[in-house]
Amino acid sequence: MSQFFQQYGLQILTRTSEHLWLSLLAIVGAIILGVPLGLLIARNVKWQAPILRFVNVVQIVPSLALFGLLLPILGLGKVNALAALLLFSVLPIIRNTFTGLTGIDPNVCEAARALGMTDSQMFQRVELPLAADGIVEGIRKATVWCIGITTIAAFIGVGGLGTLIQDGLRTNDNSLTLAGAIPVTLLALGADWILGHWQKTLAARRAGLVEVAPL
Amino acid sequence: MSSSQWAVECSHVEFALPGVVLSDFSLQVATGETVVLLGESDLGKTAALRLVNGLIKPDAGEISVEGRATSEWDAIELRRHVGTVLQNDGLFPHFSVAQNIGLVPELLGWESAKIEARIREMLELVNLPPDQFAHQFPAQLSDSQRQRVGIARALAANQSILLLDEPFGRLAPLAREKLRDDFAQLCRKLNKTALFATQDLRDALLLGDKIALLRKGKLSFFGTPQEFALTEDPDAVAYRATMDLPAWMASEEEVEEIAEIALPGVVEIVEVKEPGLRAKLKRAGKRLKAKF
Repeated sequence: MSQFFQQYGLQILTRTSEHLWLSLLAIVGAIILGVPLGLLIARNVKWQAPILRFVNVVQIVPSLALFGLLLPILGLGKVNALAALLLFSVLPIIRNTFTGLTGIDPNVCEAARALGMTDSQMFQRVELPLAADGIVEGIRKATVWCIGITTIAAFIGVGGLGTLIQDGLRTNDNSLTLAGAIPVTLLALGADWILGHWQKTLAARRAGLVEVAPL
Repeated sequence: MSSSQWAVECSHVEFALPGVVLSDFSLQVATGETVVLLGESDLGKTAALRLVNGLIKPDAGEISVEGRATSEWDAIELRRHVGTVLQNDGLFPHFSVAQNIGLVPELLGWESAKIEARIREMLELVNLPPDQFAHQFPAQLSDSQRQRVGIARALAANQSILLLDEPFGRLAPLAREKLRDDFAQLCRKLNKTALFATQDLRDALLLGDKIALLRKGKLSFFGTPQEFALTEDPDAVAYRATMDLPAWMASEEEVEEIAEIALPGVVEIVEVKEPGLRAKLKRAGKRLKAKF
């Protein structure tokens, strides 16, 4: 065991950090892109069908195929991997932002307007807090997928824990395969747990079940 | 009375949307007066209220609030100036009771100490002990408590005009009666101008200084509750008939209340028998029997 760590420990660490960075960048990009797009389609019905249709189609394409399809445009490497990961992760974020915002009790919005909130006050103080747990739920789904798909991105040579799995499979070295598979599983489970916890806190706050900062 | 003395004035308002219509709708509400917009479940009443706080604009005609046309008001300023209570309370679920009530004062930039004092005052006014309720959330309250918070929220910035859209519509009969009594007291105490939409004749008779009967988007009767009970106006007669006495008087107290407070000399109780609650009433000299 200790021999194994002596041999692969450093490699596991570098691969994990590559993996994390790649997933994190893609998720941040997907949030920056997805939340405003979700807001756009919640406000503007005209854009709803085309945007949702496009991201749905992207979702259907198998992940490895998408890396391949982007190859002629973006070449082999990190840009290609990031673009594909971002495209995969953006759907749940767009969709959950959209459903979170449109699912708010219309009476609450009517009250906000009737009491004289401006549009931006209504967004910041009513809509965003009430949609927040839905949006985080989307981010959670996206993050778990993204960590998984980043493993496949190893095929186009961007590193990450997928590289260990791939090397292990190729050389029929089970312990090497597990050295990639176990950390990636833990990463996905950890992200799911952390974001799930955050989501639950936000959901409880939305339902008025926890104390918020006093007035 | 010059036009500027009306707290709310609608003149020849036309408004149409699918399912909602107001045609040639004119109404004047004097300062301090409670006018009940009475009508069956159509959206005309809600539309009338939304026209007053500028949430929708009339197709034709004009609405004035305190002598200024709604089109001349800044929309946000107008809505902060007029308190609104909605049927489904519309409380912000993620705000505590105190935050809900303090919202408009806060939007208006009041100091926090003043807001806090105001929240306590409002909670006491609607009979919710502040220490018990201020830090609760809407999800922890009963329907009738939520509606009380809604009323407190609408009054918090000392709005001089209140718009109430079927505020008791969802409440169980007993809670409804209690809240109506409290609200009637509150109205007398504060002397606010109120436009109160309801389909319940009891609300209209007990709360209104004037009743405005809406039928198919038109104002078909406008007068005091006493006049409403006596008028031969066919729409008013029809409305009274749909709400036959036994149906609209839930308890003995209510019978007495309507007879003695709202309609003195119009409905007279001859006899109330218990159990089985049978009452004999007189309306305009005619004897009526009511069963409960």
